[in-house]
Amino acid sequence: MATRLISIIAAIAVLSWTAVTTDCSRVELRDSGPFPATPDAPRLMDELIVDLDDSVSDEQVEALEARLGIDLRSNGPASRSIRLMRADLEGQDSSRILEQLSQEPLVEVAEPNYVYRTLFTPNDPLFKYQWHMDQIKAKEAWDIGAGETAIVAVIDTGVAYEDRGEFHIAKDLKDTKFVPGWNFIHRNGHPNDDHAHGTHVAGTIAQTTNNGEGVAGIAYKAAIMPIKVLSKEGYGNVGDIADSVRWAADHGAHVINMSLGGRGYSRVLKNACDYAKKKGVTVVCAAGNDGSQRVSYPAAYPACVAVSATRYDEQVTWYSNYGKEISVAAPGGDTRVDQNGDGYPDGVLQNTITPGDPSQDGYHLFQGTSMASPHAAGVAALIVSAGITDPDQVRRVLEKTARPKGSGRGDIKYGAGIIDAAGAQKMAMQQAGSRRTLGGLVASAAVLAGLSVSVPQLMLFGAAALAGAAGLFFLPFLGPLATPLIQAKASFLGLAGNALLYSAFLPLLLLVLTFHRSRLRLIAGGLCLGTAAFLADTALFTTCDITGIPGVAGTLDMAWLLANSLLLLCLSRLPFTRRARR
Amino acid sequence: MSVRKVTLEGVVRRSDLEGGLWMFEASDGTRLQLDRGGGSDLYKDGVVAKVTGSVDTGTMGIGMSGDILRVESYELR
Repeated sequence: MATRLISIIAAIAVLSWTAVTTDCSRVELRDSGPFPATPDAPRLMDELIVDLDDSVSDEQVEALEARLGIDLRSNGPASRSIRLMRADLEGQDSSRILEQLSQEPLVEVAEPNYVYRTLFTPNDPLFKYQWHMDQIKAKEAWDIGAGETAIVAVIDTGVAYEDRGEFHIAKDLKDTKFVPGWNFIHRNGHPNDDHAHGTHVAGTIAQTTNNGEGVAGIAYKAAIMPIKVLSKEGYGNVGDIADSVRWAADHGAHVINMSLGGRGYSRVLKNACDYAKKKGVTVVCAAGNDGSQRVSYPAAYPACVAVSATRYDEQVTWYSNYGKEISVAAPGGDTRVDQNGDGYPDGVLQNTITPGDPSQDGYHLFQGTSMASPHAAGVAALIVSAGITDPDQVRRVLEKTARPKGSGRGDIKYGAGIIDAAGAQKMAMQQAGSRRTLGGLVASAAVLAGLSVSVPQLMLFGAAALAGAAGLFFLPFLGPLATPLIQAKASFLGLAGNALLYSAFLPLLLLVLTFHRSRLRLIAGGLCLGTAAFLADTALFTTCDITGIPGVAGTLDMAWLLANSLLLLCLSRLPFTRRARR
Repeated sequence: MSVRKVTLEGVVRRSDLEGGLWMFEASDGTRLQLDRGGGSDLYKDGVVAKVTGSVDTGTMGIGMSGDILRVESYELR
């Protein structure tokens, strides 16, 4: 009777958890921003795909547009020669236009542009103008994760992250996580943006996403550490920049983005970048905008990941510097062209303050290698979140998964190629998963040594231990379900770094609730061991900022993780003790 | 790292990089980024001016397109 009661309580606990998970996924829609008029994301039948005869001239296309009162735009550079067009029909009678098109002799095929929603697509209304997110396969990456627990320092003109005096938090950064930063210009703890550049850069990395507002960011569940080191005119001195790199490394940043540079070599700044790298921080920098074969500093330092800029057609832009130091390429935009035919220049679109007025913000298209660098920093955050933090390994994952362009890997303009967020995240997951599995095996051997364990027992215990330690990392298409249990729960609940979740609490509770059920007890024991391995791995290899513990991803956080890991390791032996078997 | 005094004649240009920069294209071919010092009359695309200031290679910025010229004085031409 007692055991049945305990089982019912356990079932209720699991159901309650599921209910909480479901509730947390709701979002509240708000009005969209001023750029441009912001219709909802296209729905089925709001858009048609129109395949014209290949020989149709531009004049004939214009005549067709005028006849039917529609606007036809090319489906992309590859579709231009074969005349594959799209027609946006928002607010029009799509059935009537579809019928009219089908009667036109120039039209080979016209059909609704069905959206195959196998991938998570954020509901941010301006996301459709962020061609740069498609270029790096961000949507595919978001099916797995979005940078949970990673901390990215943005060393720039500051970030619009708080409401204070004339400053305000930018509307599409409202739900972005921030950790304390520093203002090296005014020497205080309020690194607000009085320029616009830094906020734009921060948005590319971690814009609040899927909030029904504005645009998306690559690692939108990562935390931004805002650091102001450039004046409102957009420049600063090398000494402050070097100090800021060390400051970020000493305060828990996993990734540093520097969308800044100059031509002068500085040993002080080089040493600071070396220091950050030695502390396990990946430093990502813009290649510079001279359009010459001379990569700017700090990007050209060996410790830094130098990023060149591409535009919509994946060519390196006219302004991007290049050279042997280039590690990878990423979208920087080209506002002088509209290659995708969306009616707007092909810049990088993010939310930032209105230049000259930090009390206002809007959606702005910028171009520059400064815009390319945060794309790579965002992907680096995804890699860190997946469990790979060593800067050399992060660089290797970025480069190995990049899409080769030009003369192939090591190209003077593209480096290893254009970054691939999804590929990088999957590779990082697999590498971290292998490491965690190894950790779990070692821990299992230590716990089970000297115990008499049958094969069925071992299988139950081992499967649970694997789920806790590494998850189904070899099946990345499962998304968060492919990650270790704590990460999966943190992702569903939006509780990355939560002290209770990243502790012995839940496995211990499960063990108590199932202690009188022999099979469930084994599963709980396995979860204790797997979670112990995961917490130890997090403490030793990835670091994580635990909420409520002083400092950002520091020694105390590590101590918390290791202490809980040790406790769980001891608990995981309990299912095999004599008392339990009675 | 060095600081050098310069007096240059050239044209002020508005650049569309990085959300907007002010550049100085000197007649000797040097391309510098202006630090926004001086009056608003200097910051107009196409203005011809003689600018005196210092070029500090210990300064870095968002422009990354030429060293930064700190404007001390200028004459419009």
